[in-house]
Amino acid sequence: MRKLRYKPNKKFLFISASLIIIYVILQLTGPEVINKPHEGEINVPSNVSAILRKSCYDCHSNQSDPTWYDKMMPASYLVSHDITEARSRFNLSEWSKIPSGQQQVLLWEMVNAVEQKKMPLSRYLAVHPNAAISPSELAILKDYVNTLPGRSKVDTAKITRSPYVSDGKTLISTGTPVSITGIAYSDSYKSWTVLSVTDKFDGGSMRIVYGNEIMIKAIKNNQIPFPDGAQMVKVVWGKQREDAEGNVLPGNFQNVQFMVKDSKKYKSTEGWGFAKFDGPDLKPFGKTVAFATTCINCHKLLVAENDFVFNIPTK
Amino acid sequence: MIALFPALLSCSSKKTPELAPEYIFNDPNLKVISSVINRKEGTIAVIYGNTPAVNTANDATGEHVDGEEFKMVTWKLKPMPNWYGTDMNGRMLSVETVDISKKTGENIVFKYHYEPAVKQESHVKTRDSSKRVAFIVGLPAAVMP
Ligand code: HEC
Ligand code: HEC
Repeated sequence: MRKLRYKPNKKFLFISASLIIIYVILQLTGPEVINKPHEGEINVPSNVSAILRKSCYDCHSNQSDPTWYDKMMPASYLVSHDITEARSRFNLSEWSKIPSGQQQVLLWEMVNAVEQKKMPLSRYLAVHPNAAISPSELAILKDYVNTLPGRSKVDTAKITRSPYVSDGKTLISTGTPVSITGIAYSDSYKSWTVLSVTDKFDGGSMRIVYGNEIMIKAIKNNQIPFPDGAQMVKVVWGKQREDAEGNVLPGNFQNVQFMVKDSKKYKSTEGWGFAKFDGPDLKPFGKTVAFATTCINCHKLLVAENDFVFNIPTK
Repeated sequence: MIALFPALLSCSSKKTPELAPEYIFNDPNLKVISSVINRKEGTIAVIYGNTPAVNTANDATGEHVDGEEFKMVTWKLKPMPNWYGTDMNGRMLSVETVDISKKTGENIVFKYHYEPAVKQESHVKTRDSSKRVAFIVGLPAAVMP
């Protein structure tokens, strides 16, 4: 009878030993998360701050506290990438650098990111289960954003007529405004179909979103992602004071925003071209094309499954 | 335990939206005049008009002319599914129409018609039609460049 003997494969042993050595060396070379001193930290009620500290600070602040396994390769590379990206989006330690209007938009976006379980990132929650946000904590965040000044903003200013409009006709005397993304303003949307009408109570505005024929047809045919040539225009007004019957009417015109589908031209922003024209004189928004990245970032976080469109009619 | 897994997976998989194109109002002869939010009634509306109606609504001193047509389309206000912070139109509730005729030497006539989106269903108990007409035809156009 032959004795069964475990015979280690020399080649296998050599490879495993090398791998272990390389791994140990990598641990010494992994990126170090550097915590800069924090100035201008976010100033919110303590119950809100406690939630942000527990669930968001590891990535969206200068006070990251990686645990031992975050520091292991290759996790440390992923973690440091997430932290760099997260801080570039918004940094709760350098919050005061952000203009107040934008701070409010971000706070509402944060609530939505949590409500839709997009944040904290699931790969982070898998190893930091304590960072999960409970329904009662989400309610605290919601209560807080509802106290922000934009929530109850009423437009009491006298309504200025646009210099572009006279007797219902558009007069473009100073030339057509063009966005840096290559989208020119045009009022042809006025003969498109209204896709939706909204009360954006987070910022005290009301909106009408139009869709062109390609867009409306795609919705009727349940065609998502939307085909090239689909376009939407969103017109934004302030809200006047509510009357005795409860009616709220549009106040001043604030801006008009375009989304134009061209999967080749706008590949870097998921196939959608963005444009925004501000105020009655329709000043194109955005100093560099990078502004469109901030547009798609929010649309991508929350409505990627709707081809990045919020205003679609759904049951 | 193993049997539970497919169930869990199907719960977590992304839902593609169920589109409701029937909520869209379309009349190629009409353009937007303005919109109205009413949180007391839980509704949101768009007032449309034909060219003479739009012109009058854009002119603060304008008097109504023969042939103006107004339509006020009212939807139920509902939370936007993917954004807490915005409410949007849900299903359509009603279409109110005002047709104006003004023949020379005769008085101006406003013809009012209320059409619920679902037959035998009115979203308002009582409608004072003369009040509704005054409201609909009196709205100044929202500023649109
Ligand atoms: C593990 C790191 C990590 C944690 C923890 C985390 N985030 Fe993020 N966050 C990111 C990254 C990375 C991005 C960039 C988008 C992406 O990769 O999905 C991001 C993007 C965002 C955005 C989108 C900003 C934009 O550019 O439009 C919001 C809002 C957000 N996070 C909110 C939160 C909130 C609120 C918390 C806490 C409840 C949180 N995040 C916790 C990593 C994190
Ligand atoms: C903080 C998140 C956020 C950012 C940033 C953002 N959007 Fe949106 N956008 C929304 C939400 C929420 C809606 C739906 C609510 C509404 O209609 O106001 C929307 C709707 C739109 C629509 C109507 C079509 C649709 O998707 O429903 C257009 C057009 C649009 N945005 C353009 C832009 C442009 C242009 C920018 C950049 C200048 C931008 N957005 C930046 C959140 C954002």
